[in-house]
Amino acid sequence: MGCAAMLLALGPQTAPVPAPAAIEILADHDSRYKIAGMKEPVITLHAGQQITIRITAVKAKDHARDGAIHGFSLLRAKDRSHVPGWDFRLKPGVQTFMLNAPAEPGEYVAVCTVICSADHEGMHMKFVVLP
Amino acid sequence: MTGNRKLRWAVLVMAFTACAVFIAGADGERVFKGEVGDSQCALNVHSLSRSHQEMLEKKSIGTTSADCARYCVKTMGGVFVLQVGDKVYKLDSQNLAYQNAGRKVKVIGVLDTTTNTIAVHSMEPLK
Repeated sequence: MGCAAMLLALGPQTAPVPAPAAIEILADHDSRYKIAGMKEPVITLHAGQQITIRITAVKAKDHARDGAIHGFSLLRAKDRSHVPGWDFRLKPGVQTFMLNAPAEPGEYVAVCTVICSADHEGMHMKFVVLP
Repeated sequence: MTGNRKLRWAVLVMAFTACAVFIAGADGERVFKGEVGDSQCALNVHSLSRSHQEMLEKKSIGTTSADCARYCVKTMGGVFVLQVGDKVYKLDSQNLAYQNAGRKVKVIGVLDTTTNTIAVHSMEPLK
């Protein structure tokens, strides 16, 4: 009885939490964000959800003086204000970010913050945050 | 190196440090002169020679550096920065920067070198 109680106390109380799945995004040479299998990339998350985003950045025509070839900054769609902790300058290659989804449900837009080509302004993608 | 030369070097280094501290001010306050722009254009690879030019070619943005900077900050995820030659500093006072967007200004403030951000004490247009 005593041993059983001790084992219960020491053993796992809940099932192990699976590692969050990585979302793969391509920041491509044509100044577009792309997700495999999606014509218009949209990411749907739950408020506060822990996620991993892996971005592969491929150089477009231009780059920034700090070596960044694209940016990835999340803005609230309603007022274009920044979401803290979601502002990245992407160097060529793969970069992985562990993030928490915004706490406030709603629509968001990720935009490129590096003037990467003449099509830079069109480099954005939608995020939907559910309660 | 003889002891005498070492002493001379030490005095020289101390004098230089004292001068630097005096110039910088006791609390690190410094004067920066540059142009208030947006982070996207200021860090662009062409920004030293033709800042804003690429963006302004799109007629919808506006016609002046101020229009471009405000547009990039308001809608494109940029932030106002101070461009001083080839250096770009973030500014903690985005409201003051908004008022002076596109202008050459004198900023008095303290630079945090770890974040590359100037804590702005004052900002006024250069005449």
